[in-house]
Amino acid sequence: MNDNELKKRIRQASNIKLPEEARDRTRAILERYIEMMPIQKALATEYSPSFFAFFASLRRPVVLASIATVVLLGGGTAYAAENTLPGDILYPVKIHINEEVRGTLATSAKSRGEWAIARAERRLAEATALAQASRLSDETNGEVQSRLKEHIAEARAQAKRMESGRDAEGSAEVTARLTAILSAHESVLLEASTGITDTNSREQILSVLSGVRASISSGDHGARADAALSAKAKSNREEVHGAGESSRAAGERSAADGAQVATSKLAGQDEREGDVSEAALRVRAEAARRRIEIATEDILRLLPEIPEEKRSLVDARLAAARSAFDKALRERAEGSAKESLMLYTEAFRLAVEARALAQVHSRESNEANTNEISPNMENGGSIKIESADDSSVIDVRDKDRDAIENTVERILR
Amino acid sequence: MGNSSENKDMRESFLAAYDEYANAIYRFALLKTSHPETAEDILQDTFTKTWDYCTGGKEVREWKQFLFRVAYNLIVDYYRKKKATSLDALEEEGFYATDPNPGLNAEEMAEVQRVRKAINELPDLYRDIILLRYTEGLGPKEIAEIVGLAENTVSVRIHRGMDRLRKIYEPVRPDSKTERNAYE
Repeated sequence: MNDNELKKRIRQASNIKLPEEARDRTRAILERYIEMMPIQKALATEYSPSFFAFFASLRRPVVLASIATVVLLGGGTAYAAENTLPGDILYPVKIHINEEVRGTLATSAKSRGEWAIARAERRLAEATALAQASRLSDETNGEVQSRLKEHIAEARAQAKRMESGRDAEGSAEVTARLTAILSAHESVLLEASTGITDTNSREQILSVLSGVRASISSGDHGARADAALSAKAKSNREEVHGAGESSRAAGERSAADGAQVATSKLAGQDEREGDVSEAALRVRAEAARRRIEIATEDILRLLPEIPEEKRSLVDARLAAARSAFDKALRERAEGSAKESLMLYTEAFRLAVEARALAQVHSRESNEANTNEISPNMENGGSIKIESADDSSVIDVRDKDRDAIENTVERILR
Repeated sequence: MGNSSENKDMRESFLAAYDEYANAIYRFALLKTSHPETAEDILQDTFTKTWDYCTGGKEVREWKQFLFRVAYNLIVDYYRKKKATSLDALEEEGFYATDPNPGLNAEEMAEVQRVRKAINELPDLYRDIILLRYTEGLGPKEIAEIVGLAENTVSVRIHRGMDRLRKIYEPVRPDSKTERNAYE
């Protein structure tokens, strides 16, 4: 083959195109980014160098967050909106500005998945708070549930994306965390429903509860369907962790099974190529060890904030993770590589769940202590959004998402 | 005035650069990392970092070179954190199937695959430079600026890299082996 032919073959061998969808998505992100980060040249003459040195020393997401929350809305409005509930005047600011802006900072599939889970948690916390204040109506319930479904679907889509991008560990982590969060909130909703005497609110919260259960169940089925595609992973499905399970609520069990299927795919990925390699075992062992360490540190830190009655749940999950890890070490020493791999994977999942449970229950306790329902602003309330060269007053009560976004866009320009 | 019209001009030329070079940067990142999602992240980071540079009032004259330099540095960072897999991994995942080389017959396709494997076996030292030279069509001077080497070194590596590639691609025939050994 002569030189020219070889050069031609090199071009053909590396002929790859950026998928259209990814190309458009990245372009949209960049368009938003450059709007948030205008050229500073003119400003530079107005501020001292130390002002910019400070910002330059910050990481880009921090700069973005500062711009988004401080410049666009003024810290007060954005902050006030954070504590609102569906039906409050500032609630659209929370949903369409604060959360959307935070969403643009999540650039990887994993961070997008985690942010979607965080948003799902916010909706669940809002539903609980509304029901406890007898404010959960058909309308607000519908709003919360429809957003909740979107966030859950987004988290699952990102997990799937990670899986297809060969990040099985990240995918399993997001899936396990989502199921753990949903199951933890399931018990929170159940408890809240027992304390509510108002029939309508009780019915509404039970409807949220059944929505959560349906989501857990659909995730379970979806994951099972996926797992069926992999014959190797399929065999792992029958593994059900025994000790400490009996006390768990039925929904939690179902959620855990869903997560188990997802993590079994993680193990399955290593097995696909045949025998479990020593390298695969090392990677999985390290991932599980790291996850247990992180979970232990976080749980110890959060322990004082976790209600007494929930601590045993968290402890049991972490103990099960450690026990699976120890068993994995024993199996490995005895030469059962496949069993060892499955147990490392199980340890990984249990550690993620333990940490998520601790986080949910500590937040729940904090909210119970400090978070009161934010009062509805009086009718006719309005928000003032200011920028250096423009000032706008919009009546949020009558405005939808488009109106808010248009105003912000105008200010940005 | 100044600032808003300047902002608009810069915005337009920045987005035009994205439209023109997004594919090349993604391809380079993907060939280096073998991980579509990482390649997409590198693409995004390349452009946000470039915009950060522009916002300081600095001008980018040669977009292609500049973008490749940023992308190359990001890839080096990525390598420091995690060793990438291989071009074979992309093939196993059927990634090339989304963009086949149309019009090639089975024999030519097999040749392309052999070249792909040969590129994969090249040491990084040569691989990056060969890809920048023949896939992206950059000259030795431009490559030298991107990878931070002297132009002369780049030219030598292109030459040696092609020799290596040829050796990997065209296995030594039994009848020429003794002759070749005599030279080595």
